[in-house]
Amino acid sequence: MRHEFRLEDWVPRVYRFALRLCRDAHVAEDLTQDTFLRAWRQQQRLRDAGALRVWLFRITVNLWQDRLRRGRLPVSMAGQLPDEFLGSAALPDHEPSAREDLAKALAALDALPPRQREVLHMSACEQMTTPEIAEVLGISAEAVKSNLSLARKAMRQQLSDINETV
Amino acid sequence: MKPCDQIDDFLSGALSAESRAAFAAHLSGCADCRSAERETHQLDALLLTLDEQAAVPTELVKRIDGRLRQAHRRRLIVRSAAAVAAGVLILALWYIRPQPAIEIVEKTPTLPVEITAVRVDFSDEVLAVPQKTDSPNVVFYWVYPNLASTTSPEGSP
Repeated sequence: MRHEFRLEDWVPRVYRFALRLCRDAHVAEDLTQDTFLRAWRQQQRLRDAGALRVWLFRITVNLWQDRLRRGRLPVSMAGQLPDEFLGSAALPDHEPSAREDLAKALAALDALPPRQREVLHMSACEQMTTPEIAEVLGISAEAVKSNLSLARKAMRQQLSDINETV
Repeated sequence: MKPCDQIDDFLSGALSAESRAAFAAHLSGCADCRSAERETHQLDALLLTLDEQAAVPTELVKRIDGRLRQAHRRRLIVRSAAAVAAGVLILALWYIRPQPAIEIVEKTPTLPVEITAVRVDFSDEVLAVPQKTDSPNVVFYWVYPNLASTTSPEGSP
């Protein structure tokens, strides 16, 4: 690509974001792969290398929305959680109680409405600013703030028992 | 709306500057809101941990790298083929380019605008024999010495 970057750095981030969008490991892999192929084909559109993360995430969102429009949803997507996040193998460095808390947090996160989940992921895990999140999702800054506020409130309510022990 | 209801708007930056300042003042004296603020930071830390622990397929980077290289090679092949095709097309167009037409103009003789009658008086010393030509306006004469006149007693050559 004209704006050189290491795939090793960006593939995991795009994959995790895709996972938050679709909640299916196989679909997330496809989305990640398609994201980088489209980014490679449209590389001349990226004017500012500093906007790489927003640009890549935006492509991922567009690809995911294309899939939703075409109805290409996997059978496994019925609100289920990816198994690899719930098993102890995925969290080897944590005590069983901590693993349980993380599993509950993941369940609470995935129970959020999609827009709130996406906004919360970008804010908490990527530390993205409100304008950046708004650009990725193609919504207003006010909508981002509103969704973030609702998501945090819902998560706090669902995880009140966890927070007492964290 | 109670001030405590604004905690999430405060944390997500949704408050105006004025409301934010007012809520900050409230926060310093409200144990519930401070607790909610602390819980939110803990929640963000928890989500970050979750994200960092998410298992990324080990072969995914390699697979995407392979696909990108494949796409790059395909693009090179397509561009090379397009360049060759363009060259062939240019040569073909040059070869079949239209040639300039040769114009054949047939000229038809025209009559002189003005016919000039010339009167020629030949002396008796010559014989003038008119010859026909293609043009009705032109007459050639073959001129011969008049031997009869040169043999006359008073004539001289």
